[in-house]
Amino acid sequence: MKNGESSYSRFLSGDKYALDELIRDYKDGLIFYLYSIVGDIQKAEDFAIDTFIKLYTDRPSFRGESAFKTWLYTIGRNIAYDSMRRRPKFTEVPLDDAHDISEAASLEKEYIKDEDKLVLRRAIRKLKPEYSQILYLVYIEGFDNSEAGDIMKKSGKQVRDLLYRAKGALKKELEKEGFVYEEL
Amino acid sequence: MRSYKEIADIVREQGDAILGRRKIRARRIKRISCAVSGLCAAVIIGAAVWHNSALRNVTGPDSVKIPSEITTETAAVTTEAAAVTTASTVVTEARITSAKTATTRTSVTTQTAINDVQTSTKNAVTYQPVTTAIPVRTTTAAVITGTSNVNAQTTTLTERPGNTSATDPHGGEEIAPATTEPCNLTGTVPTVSEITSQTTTIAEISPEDGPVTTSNTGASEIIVTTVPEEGSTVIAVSDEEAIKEHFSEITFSQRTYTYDRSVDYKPDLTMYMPFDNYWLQAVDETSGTAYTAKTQLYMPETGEKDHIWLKFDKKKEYCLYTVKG
Repeated sequence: MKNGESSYSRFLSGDKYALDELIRDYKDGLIFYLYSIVGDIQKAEDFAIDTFIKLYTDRPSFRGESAFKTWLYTIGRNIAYDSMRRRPKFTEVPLDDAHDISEAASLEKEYIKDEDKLVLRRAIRKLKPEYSQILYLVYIEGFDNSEAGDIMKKSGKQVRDLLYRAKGALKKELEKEGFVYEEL
Repeated sequence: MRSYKEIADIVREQGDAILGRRKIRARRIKRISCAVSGLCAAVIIGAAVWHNSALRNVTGPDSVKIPSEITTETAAVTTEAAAVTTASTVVTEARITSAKTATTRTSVTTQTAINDVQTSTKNAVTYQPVTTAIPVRTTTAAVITGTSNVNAQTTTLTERPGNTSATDPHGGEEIAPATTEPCNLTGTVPTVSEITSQTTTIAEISPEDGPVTTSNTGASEIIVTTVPEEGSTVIAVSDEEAIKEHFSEITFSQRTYTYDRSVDYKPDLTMYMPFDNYWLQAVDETSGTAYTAKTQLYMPETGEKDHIWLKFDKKKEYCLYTVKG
């Protein structure tokens, strides 16, 4: 996390290659987080690119009130929500693009090395976007409740309630598939 | 999913494009704002100049003067004004001198005028020997000769010094030579007849050049003027005797009238002759009323030329003469 802050500071100082370091370190996690929001890996990737473009063009100041990753994910989430608010809610996907779903699954498999986490991610993807977000942030990305609340613009109690309901929904989903996740 | 290098290239490319568009947009906004500001400033300055009359008179760089030049110009104007005042004073003094020395001009001119009168008048005129003109201040006790050219319709008075009994506080004072013009009286009088008069006037001039009391002396005055058959005319007269003799015989259209003093003329009316010989003043000693007017003698209607009236201020009339017999 400290590397992200220092890289961004160097980028603000004029080091253009510092942005490459940020993209390299936070690209995948941001894309999969946005994927939990929009449910489309291509859109998630586009939103991630838009997030880095915003850092490149607007150069927002990072005040250090939270972790750099939390701040970056918050920017990505806002961009994703703004874009989804502007675009139509349902878009038609051509049949030629149907392979993207399997591609997303393969990408998740690359990103989530742990097999249990991979099964868990598949089950999370079937949940509501709000449950999916909080479960991804807490159980996949490793954020605590406060950081997850900062990203999702929710208070600690809301995060706890949301996380409780998300765990119940995930447990039911895993039981449907015959899996029992002990940490839930 | 694209690699981080591809994403970095996309971010850099799209980011530069966005920054380029922002620069172009900012430059366009700045240019438009500068143009609008310039137009507004021009409009404001134009309106200010249009409503300011002081700035409207400024025609060019030559009309703009620095304050030091303005101060110098003002000083020059002041000096010029002083010079003008001085010149005016000099001119005034010269005129005064000319007026005071009008009677001492030349004897030659007087002699010439007398010769002209001798050859043109009907009545014989006797002249006393002309004394030599002395360039000193004298009084108006002078032999006044008046000539009038009938055809030219002009009246000329010429004076020459004569015997005087008046005392002048400025007598004997040398006077600087001054150029004076002859006493010419020019009027637009219809031509009817020629009148010749011989009078002698002695006047006492007060130090203030005020009205003088005239009396008859041995000096002679000849007034040649033209009297209309109708209306009035203005002639230069000195006193009642002169007028009496002046109008003793007047010929109107081949007929000669002989006039006598009017019965209405008050013997207590004292006449004064001003210094310039143009105005006749009279004081009715009975009533104390003073009259001042040009000696306006007018004749009655045509065919009734049995009276000659003297009119003051178009109000007071005195019948000076009536036809004899």
